[in-house]
Amino acid sequence: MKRGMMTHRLRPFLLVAVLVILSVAACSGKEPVETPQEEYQVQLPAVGVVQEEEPEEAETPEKEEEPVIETPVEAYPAGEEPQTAPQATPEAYPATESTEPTAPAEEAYPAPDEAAKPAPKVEYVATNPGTVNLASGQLQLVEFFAFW
Amino acid sequence: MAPIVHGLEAEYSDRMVFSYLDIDDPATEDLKSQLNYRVQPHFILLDADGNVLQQWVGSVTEEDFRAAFESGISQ
Repeated sequence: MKRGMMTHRLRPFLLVAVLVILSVAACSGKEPVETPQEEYQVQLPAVGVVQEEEPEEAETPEKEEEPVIETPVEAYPAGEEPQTAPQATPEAYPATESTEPTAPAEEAYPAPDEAAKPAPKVEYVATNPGTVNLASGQLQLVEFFAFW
Repeated sequence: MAPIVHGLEAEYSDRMVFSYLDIDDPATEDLKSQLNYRVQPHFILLDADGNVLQQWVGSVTEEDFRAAFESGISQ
C-alpha cells in the first residue's frame, strides 16, 4: 500500500520530468530520438522505482558518441624527431660539362649587315593598281590575292 | 603565302618590283585580263618588258620563288 501511494504521488512529477527532458533534447541541436525514446517507453511503467536514474541514462548516449580526436603527435613515430629539410649545398648539384656555352659569344649578336635588313612584313598591303607598270624595266612579281 | 613573299621582297627589293593586287578591287580588272588571272593566289613573274616568265597558282614554296627570281635576274 505504501509503495503504491508513493508511486501514485510521484507519477505527476516524473511525467513532468520526462517532458522537460524531452523538450530540452528537442531544443538542442542533437537528435535525441534514436535511443532515448525507446528507453523512455520501456522504463515508464517502472518509473516509481527508478526515479532518479532516468536523467543519468538519458545523458549517457551523448557521452558515448563523442568522437575520438587523434592528436598529430601520433603521426610521428615515438622516439624519432622530425627531420629538417636538407639544405642545398654546392656538392648537391655537381657541375656538368654543359655549363659552358656551346656557341661562342661572337655568334650571339648578328653582324651589322644582317641587323640592317628590314623585317619582313606579315600582312598584305595592296598596291594601287594605277601605279602598276607591267613593263617596269625590272624583274617583277605580281601577286593577285584576297584579304578574305 | 604572305610571310614567304614578303620575306623575299625584303631580300630582292633592290633588284625586283613586287606588286600585290587585291582581286576584289574593281581597279584591278584591267590587270586581271592582261595577265589572265585565274584564281587567287596567283603569282606572275614578269621580265623587264612585261613578258610573263613564269606563273604559279596556289601554294608556292620559297625555294621555287627563289630559283625563278635568280633565273630571271641573271637573264
